[in-house]
Amino acid sequence: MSRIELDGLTKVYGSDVVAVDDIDLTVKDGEFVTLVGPSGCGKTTTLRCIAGFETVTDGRIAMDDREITAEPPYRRDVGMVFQSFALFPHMTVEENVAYGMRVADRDFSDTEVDDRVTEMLAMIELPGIEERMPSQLSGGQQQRVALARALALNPGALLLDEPLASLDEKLRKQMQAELSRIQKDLGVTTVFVTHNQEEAMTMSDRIVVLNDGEFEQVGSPDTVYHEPESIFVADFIGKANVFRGSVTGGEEGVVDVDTDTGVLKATADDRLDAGTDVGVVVRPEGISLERHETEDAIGDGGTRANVTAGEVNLVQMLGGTVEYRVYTDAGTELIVTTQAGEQRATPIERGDRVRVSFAAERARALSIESIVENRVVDVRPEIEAETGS
Amino acid sequence: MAGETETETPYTRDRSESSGRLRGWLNDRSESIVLGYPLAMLALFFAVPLFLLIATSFYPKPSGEYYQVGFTLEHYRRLFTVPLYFRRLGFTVALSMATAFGCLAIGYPVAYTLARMDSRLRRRVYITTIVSTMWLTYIIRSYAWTVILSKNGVLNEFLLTIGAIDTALSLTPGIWALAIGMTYVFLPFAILTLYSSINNIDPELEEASKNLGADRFQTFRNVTVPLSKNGIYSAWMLVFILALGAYIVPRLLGKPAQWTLPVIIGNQSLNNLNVPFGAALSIAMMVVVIVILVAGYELLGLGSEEMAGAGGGTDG
Repeated sequence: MSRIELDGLTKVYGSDVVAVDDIDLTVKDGEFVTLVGPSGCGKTTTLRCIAGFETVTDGRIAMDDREITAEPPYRRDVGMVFQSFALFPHMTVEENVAYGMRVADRDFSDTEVDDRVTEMLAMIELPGIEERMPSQLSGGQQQRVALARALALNPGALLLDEPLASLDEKLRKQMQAELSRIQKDLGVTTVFVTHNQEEAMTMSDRIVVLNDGEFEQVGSPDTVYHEPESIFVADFIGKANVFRGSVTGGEEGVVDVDTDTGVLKATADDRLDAGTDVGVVVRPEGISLERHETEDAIGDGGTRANVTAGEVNLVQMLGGTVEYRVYTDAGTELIVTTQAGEQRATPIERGDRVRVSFAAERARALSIESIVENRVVDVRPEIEAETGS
Repeated sequence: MAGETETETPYTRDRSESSGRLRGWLNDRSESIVLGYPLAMLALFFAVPLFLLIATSFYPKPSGEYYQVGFTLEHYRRLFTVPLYFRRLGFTVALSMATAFGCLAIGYPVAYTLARMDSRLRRRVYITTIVSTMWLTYIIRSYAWTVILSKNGVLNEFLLTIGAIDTALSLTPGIWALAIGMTYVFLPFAILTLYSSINNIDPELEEASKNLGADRFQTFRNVTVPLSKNGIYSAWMLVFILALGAYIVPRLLGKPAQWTLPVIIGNQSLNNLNVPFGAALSIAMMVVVIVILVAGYELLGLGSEEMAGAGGGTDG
């Protein structure tokens, strides 16, 4: 197994289409790293550069200490699973899995090849399908065979290009678990590309969020979710409520932000000067709801921060959680989730007046400076379509 | 469901009873109507003439007349006993095969490059250029080659100028002129047939092959060629059949000794007034072609369901 190093990797198409812009990344031996981002963010290009299918414009790629930037694909020690699976339609499953050994410079004996094919098919839990043609397999089976084929030569790294995208929801969940199991069993260094943030969250040791050819954030799923470094990340990974406003003051990592909803208190990692435009990000589960019968704006006379009132627009039961859409008096729509089992004297229903509050620790103030406003709005429908399914 | 019935009902009601019945009658027979038309055309313009051709080949040939209705094996006896005709047939088949292989050898790289071209505009320009060579008739293009290859032609001038030769070559008419002309004329058919076949191969399959350690040549041999096998056979067969039937190109670019069977059939029928013998030669040629095509089809295993034989050669 190998360590992969990307050093200032840049890929420019034509004369001015920058697909990947000067990225540095080290994937540790045995690590599962996911590149996630919206369409056209450069994640697939990065993967194809590692595999050797794209000529790198600038920068270098190394595996362990061997530089492979200029090596042709067939001299790189990586196995790849393609989005289309790319099984050879004119070969049996056995011939597909054995292909790498058959074309290798080293001579494998027939017994060696047979044993390895049997072993690989056992690993993917599809023993005895050696003689089938790919066209006779279901999507999930083809996916597994493609994985077996990629791993048959024991490559230093495994590259996965959206391999689950063409599978249906249930099968995808099953394959996620399967892939994780095999990856952990073999301890193979893995780079996984997906546009599905949920997949990224559940499978990875580390997530790399890409946007427009550049890294937005690199970190563990937990860090990326709970401590997003930009509004883009907050918005792309999971659901987020964003209040736009500007900093009016603050101390000790907590800032006051003047927004349409009033002055909100939020944590801030960086020093944010007064006047900085920020977005206050709160995860749906960080907000609490209380029934609020009176018509006044806020119960405490508007003195407490991070409290507002509104009306419930929509209540959706999502299995383990309940999701509410609250239209606040300030005119913003908020997403709030609570545990489904949570007992209430009278359940909150559509049309109820509620008081909405969240602790400063659950809110993060993130600078807007570099984020183009409509960009954030742009990715929303995609995220919601995925998480909502 | 409700929407469908609402729109459907008035539509059917508007039709009068009789036209509804006619429609039903047509619907019931749509398959036989659609297939019946080409079948009738085939019967009228292929089966009947073929039958007439076979019949004619057995007619006696009195001198001074085209033919006389009757029965004789004289023409077939002549075909089998005079070695000239079988030699001409052999030459024709060999030349056509060579042309077909030549077109494959030159056409495959071109078709592959076209199929894998990134820019759609450039691809369109190239394909249009290739197709445009077919806008002129064979006659003009064959004459063009006689001019290019003639003693005072461009090729000889060029070779003399660069000092590659001392005296002008006499190329046309000749076997090389004939081979060049035939390949040139039929190349576009090979390229277009191969192009559509290669275009259907997912480039990811070739990438997968390289990813698994196969170099360009191994990938070409194990993935690209087997997956375009149908296209290769179609292109070969198309050029082979077209080349067999070529009349003008051999006539203009070949010496009489290199005239192909179609030229001889033409001479027999038109110049020697021996239509029955021409018919017998045509049938001999047809039989040979059918045998070759069926053999090729079986040999390549194109008829088998999974093309199972194709993947055999994965050892590298």
